Amino acid sequence: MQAILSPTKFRSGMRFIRQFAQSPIALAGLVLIILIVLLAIFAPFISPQNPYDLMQLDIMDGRMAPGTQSSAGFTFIIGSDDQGRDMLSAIFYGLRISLIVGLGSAALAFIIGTAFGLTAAYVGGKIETTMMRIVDLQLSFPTILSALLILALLGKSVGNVVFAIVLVEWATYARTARGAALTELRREYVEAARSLRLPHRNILFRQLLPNCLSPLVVLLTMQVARAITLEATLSFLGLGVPVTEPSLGLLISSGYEFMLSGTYWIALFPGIALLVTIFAINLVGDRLRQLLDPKAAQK
Amino acid sequence: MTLRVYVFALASALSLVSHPVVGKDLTIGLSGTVTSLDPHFYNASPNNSIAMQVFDRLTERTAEGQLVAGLATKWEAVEETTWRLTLREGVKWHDGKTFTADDVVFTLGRAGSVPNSPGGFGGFMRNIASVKADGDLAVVITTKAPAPTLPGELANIAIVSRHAGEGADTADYNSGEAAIGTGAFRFSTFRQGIEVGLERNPDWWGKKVVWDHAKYRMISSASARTTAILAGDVDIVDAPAATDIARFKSTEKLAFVSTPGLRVIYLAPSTSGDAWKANVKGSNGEALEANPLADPRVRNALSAAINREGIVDKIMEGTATASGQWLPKGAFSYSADIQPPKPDAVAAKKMLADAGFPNGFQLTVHVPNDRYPNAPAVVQAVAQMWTRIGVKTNVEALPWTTFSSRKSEFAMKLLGLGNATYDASSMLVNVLGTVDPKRGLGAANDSGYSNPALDEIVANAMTIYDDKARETALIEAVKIAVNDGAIIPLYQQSNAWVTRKGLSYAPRIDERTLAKDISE
Repeated sequence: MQAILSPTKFRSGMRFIRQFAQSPIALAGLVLIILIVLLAIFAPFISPQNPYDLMQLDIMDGRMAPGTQSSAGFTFIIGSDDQGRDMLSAIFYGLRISLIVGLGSAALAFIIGTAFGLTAAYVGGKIETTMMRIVDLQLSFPTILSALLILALLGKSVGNVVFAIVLVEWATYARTARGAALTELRREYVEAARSLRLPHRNILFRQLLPNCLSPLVVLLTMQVARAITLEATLSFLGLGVPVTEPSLGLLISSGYEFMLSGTYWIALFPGIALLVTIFAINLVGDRLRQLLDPKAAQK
Repeated sequence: MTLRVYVFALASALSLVSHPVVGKDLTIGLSGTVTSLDPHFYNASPNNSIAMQVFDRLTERTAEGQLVAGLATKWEAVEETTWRLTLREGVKWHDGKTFTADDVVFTLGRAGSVPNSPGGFGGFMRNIASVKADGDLAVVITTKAPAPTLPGELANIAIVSRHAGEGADTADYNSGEAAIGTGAFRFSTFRQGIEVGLERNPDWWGKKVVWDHAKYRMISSASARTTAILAGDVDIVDAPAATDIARFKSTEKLAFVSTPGLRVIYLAPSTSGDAWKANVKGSNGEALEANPLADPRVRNALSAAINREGIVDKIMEGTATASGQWLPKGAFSYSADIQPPKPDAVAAKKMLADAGFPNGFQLTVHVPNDRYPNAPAVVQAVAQMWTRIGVKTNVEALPWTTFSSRKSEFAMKLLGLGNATYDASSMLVNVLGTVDPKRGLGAANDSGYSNPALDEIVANAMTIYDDKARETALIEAVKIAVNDGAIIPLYQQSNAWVTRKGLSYAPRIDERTLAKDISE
């Protein structure tokens, strides 16, 4: 179990990748994701301008149409926003925020939620009931409303957005993890581990967790896309990131003001970027679900 | 009931030719948020728009700002510190009771002292020493000092009734229980943050009102207002987005009106107290011992760094005029000597260095995002300009309801002032006066500015009956405040409305949207 690179593991890994690649659409999604991640990572090197550095912005460059020359000499390939921000640079930097928030919050929520759910299933009894009622309580709150409330209290920043999303999303993982663990707990290997008197920690995280991972990984991919959407929504509503460091959602929000006057590019291009990102993640997530879900795999 | 049916039938019969709607309803898309129906709770334009129709004032202002008779038909200074006002005869409250001088006495006792008011009317009442009824139809107002501007100040105070208002608090006005006025419309519904419904008062003493019902819908987003008027959901909207004006002008079924306005948009630095600490840090983020904004050189440096023409051109698209003071050209006590400062980053940097901040500092500016047109974009532009001289600026945009309740916590904030006195004095007395409820100074001073020498000059100016001499004294006070960088004026806003074709509204310099003055 610990030897991750054992020959059998490696072979089954390769088989999984081959199976995944059998769907060209999913493969295209994966390529897109890699491309977007690269764009986000190398944003400072490929952007003509740092859109978050107020020194580099000039109000006189505001709302320039795609193709106009900026006062600093470069060209606004897809136009500039009302503050004189190059839209292309703003989108690259915006993707960074989206991915940091999406991956960061989904990963944190995954860790917290999974630990909570597994523990509940393993401990059982009254403690389990209490723990799962807390999860039910959390799930019964409307997501956006709770997130808005948290951000209104804490103030705007990327860190607070991540915190808010983790707080509203962890319960989904907890419920899935518990469901998967309940099935696994009836298997013989758990019986065996228990009779060997292995420490609880060992049984939970070495034996149980790896066997519960499949549905959780699928959920994780879907939740990354969901967290990105949630961040965009919060920013659109004016409670996400600070106005001087716009994310995609905030760019769409400020562009929305100009939609009716013909300045379409401020809202349109960040909208497309957001759409493509979420679409690509969902394509990959769908394929993972097909392969990892035993019921779907039979078809 | 039968009478109303009859009126409805008549109105529909008359309007069949042009407009096949039963009864005359007007829907208004209002940019600001009406926070209360208590006319003395908060001196803000959206609240006043409603209060001006449910209630009347002793004196009134026309669309252009001229003082005319209201509930008082005549006012005269019988002595240096005594005004006598003759009241209008035969005026009835909405519940049928008769309006008397006693109601005026009650109102003037209440208007300046509403609990929890975020910015009240105390400033207009500061001169009043006592108010006495002289029979049922006259009041005598004694002032603490000669008060030549009193009739103009009374044009801001809605007259409420004693019988409905005695013991009533702001909540009773919001529920409608105490919102009994003498005005053109009666209160009908109030849904906080959503809409205010009014119905015509057929017994009003003023000129005939066209509408049976008027509904004010609060639509804070400019593009939502644009969509609403284009779709015909509302009949008139105020504060249209600058970017959409060309489109309105070219749309066949709409009409556009505008006028230069009284409202100045300015940045207010916090000059005393501890509120600045959370929002001002050293150039490397370290805590500072003293508030840089307390130094007039710093404030003037910040002012000199701003390219006002650029902001007016690029963001306001010509719907504002760059300003270095707080009145439009031609207004009483406007000074031609004070021009908007020319942007000069080099001089600004030098002033900062002289004040002991060669590396600048970090500053967070707060701005309401649903109150003044384009305000967040304006502050972001200012942030660019300040960052260039070394003052690293963050911008925090908040909804008006949050912003206004936390105003005094900010180090630097964008505000607008509607200049309710139509001269320089409302800024000098209410905003820049040292907070002193006894003298009626600083009623809206939430930045802690205090300049005793300025207070003296202003107090003195406000006792001069001769208009020319008073104007000279006010201009002197304005110059002192401007040189001290008490506030950083940005521009004078223009007021605009878009109506559906066929409606007419005389644009008001005080930006209020009054259903009673909209005609068809």
